Amino acid sequence: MEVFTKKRRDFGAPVNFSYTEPYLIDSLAPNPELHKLWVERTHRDQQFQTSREMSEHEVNTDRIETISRGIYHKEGGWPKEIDPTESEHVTRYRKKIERDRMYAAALRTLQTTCETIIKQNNAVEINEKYFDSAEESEVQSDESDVPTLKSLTVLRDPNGSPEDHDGRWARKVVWRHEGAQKSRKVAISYCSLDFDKRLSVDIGGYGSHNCSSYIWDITNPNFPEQELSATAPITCLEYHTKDTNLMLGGWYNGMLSLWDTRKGHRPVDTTDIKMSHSDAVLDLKWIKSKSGMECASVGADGRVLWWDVRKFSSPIDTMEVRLPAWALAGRNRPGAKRSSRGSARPGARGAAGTTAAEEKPVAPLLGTMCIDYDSAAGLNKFTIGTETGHICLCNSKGRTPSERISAVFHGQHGAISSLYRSPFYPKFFLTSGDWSVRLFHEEVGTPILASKYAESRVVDCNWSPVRPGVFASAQANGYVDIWDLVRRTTHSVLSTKVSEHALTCCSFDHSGNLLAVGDEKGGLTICEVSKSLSNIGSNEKHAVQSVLDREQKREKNLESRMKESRLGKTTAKVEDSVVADLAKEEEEVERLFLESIVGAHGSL
Amino acid sequence: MDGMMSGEDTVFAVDEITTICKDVVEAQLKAFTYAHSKVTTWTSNVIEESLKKLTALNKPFKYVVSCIIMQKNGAGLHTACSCFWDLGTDGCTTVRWENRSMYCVLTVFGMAL
Repeated sequence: MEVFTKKRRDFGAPVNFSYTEPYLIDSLAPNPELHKLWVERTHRDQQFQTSREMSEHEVNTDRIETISRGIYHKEGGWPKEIDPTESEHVTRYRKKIERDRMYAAALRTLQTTCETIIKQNNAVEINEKYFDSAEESEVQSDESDVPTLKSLTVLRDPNGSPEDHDGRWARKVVWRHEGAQKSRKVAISYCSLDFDKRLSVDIGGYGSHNCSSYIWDITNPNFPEQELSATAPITCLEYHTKDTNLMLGGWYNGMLSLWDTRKGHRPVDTTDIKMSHSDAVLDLKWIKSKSGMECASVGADGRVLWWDVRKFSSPIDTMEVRLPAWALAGRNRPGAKRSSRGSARPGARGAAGTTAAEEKPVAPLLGTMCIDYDSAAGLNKFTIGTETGHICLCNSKGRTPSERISAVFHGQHGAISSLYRSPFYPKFFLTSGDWSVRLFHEEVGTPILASKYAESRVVDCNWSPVRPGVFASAQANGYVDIWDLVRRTTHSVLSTKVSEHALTCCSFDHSGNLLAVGDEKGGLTICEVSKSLSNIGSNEKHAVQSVLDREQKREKNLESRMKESRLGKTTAKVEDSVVADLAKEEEEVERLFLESIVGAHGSL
Repeated sequence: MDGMMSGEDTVFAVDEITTICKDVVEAQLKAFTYAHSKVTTWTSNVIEESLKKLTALNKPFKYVVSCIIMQKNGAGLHTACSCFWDLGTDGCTTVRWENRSMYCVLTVFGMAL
């Protein structure tokens, strides 16, 4: 606001106004040249549309959650003194009524009402087949040989929406085995292992987080059937091999606990935190023992602990996962690396015992990601996958730490995300990690089969329990691959996108018909695999065995030839020369490759 | 009578105001070529800007600003005005500005309070 001041004496002064001469504001002369440039526009463009304008609007119906409840029907209408369950009373009462005079009249009036209702019921045939063609086509697709995956239902973490940024992973899924029939129950452990989230959990404690995991009935995807509560997020779960009421779980804080599903959601027993793992438990397995109550667990702290679940106060046995001296030496010398494993392993093991006893263990502890135990492979044998990508074959009966690790494979480029022995051929095991899935044989140092590198991380793999050559692998881009070694070994037979989010785990049920796939937002998709992937063909076991044996022999031969050529003992046998040539060729290619790299760097 | 409202403040400073107006018009219109749909905005912008600058001078004056924008199509224009006011203090000034496509004629009348 502008302030204007004027002195009092200036007020009321007479004004002196006068006319001014007309003032020329502006005068522009007409310009004929410019005028010539002036062109009248004869056409003009205008856009319009004749169709009616529509707006697009999307609405989704609300999710309706249903609960099914039973109703108790009781036969009524009987007088007090008559017990309807006693047939003698009933017949006697009936006869008494039928003799009554009013009975016939009452029956006649009721008859008309009854008849109408019965006719109404008959008019609508509930079980009529309306769509013959649809069902036929379904049958046809089932019969066809093309492997397919059909998603049946999605189980969502009840404590988080898919949009929620703090959503928990469905980290591990285990099926309850119910004999030969299709499994209906599945237990999911919800726990994020994301580094960022880990950090926030570490700082804030678990107080604000819901740590419960759930057991679901897959026919009811709305509500979990049972809760498994814990005071720290549950990283892994495992059903007892015989008694499916017992559930073993590993916690994020290193503890283990046992639930009995008959005794509510609280754990029956938990391990003493001082005796437990000092970091998250990452995998656990039940062990075949006399009592059937023993289990082994591995954790990020690099230890394997054996427990008796009836006595959780302290572990039965402990093992630290360190690479033995020979494995360390082997890693430094690529030539000796192969010789220290494979066929020469027993000797190496003996030598390792002496060296390790003399030297102090310098090898660092290796965080363990997964453990596999199969009594068919050996009662005391364990297979352990580490964060560094090593696979250790272990024997729990060894006395010194170095005796316990009987072989080390360099499995993957990164952490081994999962490791499973084949349920049909216990000497073969499947690993997933980095971007590939690999198949190993116990006695061969290099993978006998390795998949091509996928576009995304492979986070889990799992054997089909019914088809010897079938396994599934889950990737971080949401795709699930299914492999069938009978059909082909180079590519998966099926690759399907199951979730929008990164996957975390996959698991076949015990009938091999269903595949459960978990993702990072807590969703678990139950898929049905086609008949061609779940029905075992005749002679298939033998066929897969021959494929595996062939690959194993090839790898073994290559290995021994390489060794011989390195030692300079190449014999001039006709069949050997081919392999030796191959080795030379390989070296030549490698040399050229290195040169090209050096060249490229030089030019840069 | 002239002596009554003496002092620099109360006289319509033609030169100063002309430069101000010239700057305003230049700044507002320099970048444009004539477009009929924009003229309304341009005129109001020019008027508002120049009034703002004039009031910022903080002088006891009433102002009238008028603006003409005309397309350069060879047509002639003649415009004039006459006033009845205090010749000693009041005054008016005109700025004519042009570019390739248009003329802008800005007239400012200033009357002392």
